[in-house]
Amino acid sequence: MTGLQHPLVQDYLARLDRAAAGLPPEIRVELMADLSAHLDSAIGPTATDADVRNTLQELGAPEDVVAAAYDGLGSLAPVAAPVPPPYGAAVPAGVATGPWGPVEIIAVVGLTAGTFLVPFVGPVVGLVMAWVSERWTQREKVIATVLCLAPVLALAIGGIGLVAFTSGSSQSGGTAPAGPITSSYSAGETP
Amino acid sequence: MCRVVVAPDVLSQLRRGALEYCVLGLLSGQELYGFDLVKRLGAMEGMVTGEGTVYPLLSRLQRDGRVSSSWRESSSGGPPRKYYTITARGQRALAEFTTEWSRFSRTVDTILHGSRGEMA
Repeated sequence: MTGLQHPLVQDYLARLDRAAAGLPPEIRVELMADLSAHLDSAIGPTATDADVRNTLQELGAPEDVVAAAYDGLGSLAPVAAPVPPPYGAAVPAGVATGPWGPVEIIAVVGLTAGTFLVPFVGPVVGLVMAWVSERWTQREKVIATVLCLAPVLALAIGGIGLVAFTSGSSQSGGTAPAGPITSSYSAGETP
Repeated sequence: MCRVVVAPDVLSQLRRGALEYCVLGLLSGQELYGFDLVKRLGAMEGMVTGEGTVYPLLSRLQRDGRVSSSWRESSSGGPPRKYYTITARGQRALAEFTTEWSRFSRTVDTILHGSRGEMA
């Protein structure tokens, strides 16, 4: 087995290739060739695992090698290509992740319990919260709105139909309109 | 590479200015292949953090026209080696640096030691 075939070396070169992905292609190719040649020279067929580890340690982390390559680019620095993020980069502050935050909880509570606890206002608040949310997708917001309003719409249409039917069947004076349409809709499923 | 670095940040700054000229300095007398050059640099106190960072520097020196390189088959049947040679432009840059470095380091010495009344 040659030095280059050692699994630790293969792993190092793979990491180097990944870290170098944003470099201009010619420079990346040259860097890979140079480091491969170095490792080929440094690691003989009789090298132990400890020898290999030492060599890789002296070489330095792939990310540091690539950082040096970026340093040397000067006017060649790619404008459009993104710089790969450092290993283990945290999500930048201020970006909400995950589907549940205080806004979303208010939305769900408003759309469900809110219909009973604070009729009309509850669901309206819930809908507003749903649309304000930065965590839910457009699709999820639309679904919540449709599920919330569809029963209302159905009742409204039914009520109007009932009024039209009953008033159409009486001669004069008309009939008193049907009782108030109650907003006793259920929110249905929430995203 | 065994000495304790007292001020790694300071050393890093100093090295930033001088490292490429040290590479040119090593190539001034002879051509060297990559692995050999990197090992010689690495043997000198404080000159490199990771050996791998020397290769991008060599690439940049080539782009600047201060160094040229060529791949050659190894006579001993080993892997091909990339030999680096200093160019005329590289020699001129090295000569300019050497002059400036002498003056500059002498001035710094004078300031640092002279202000305390010591001989430089």
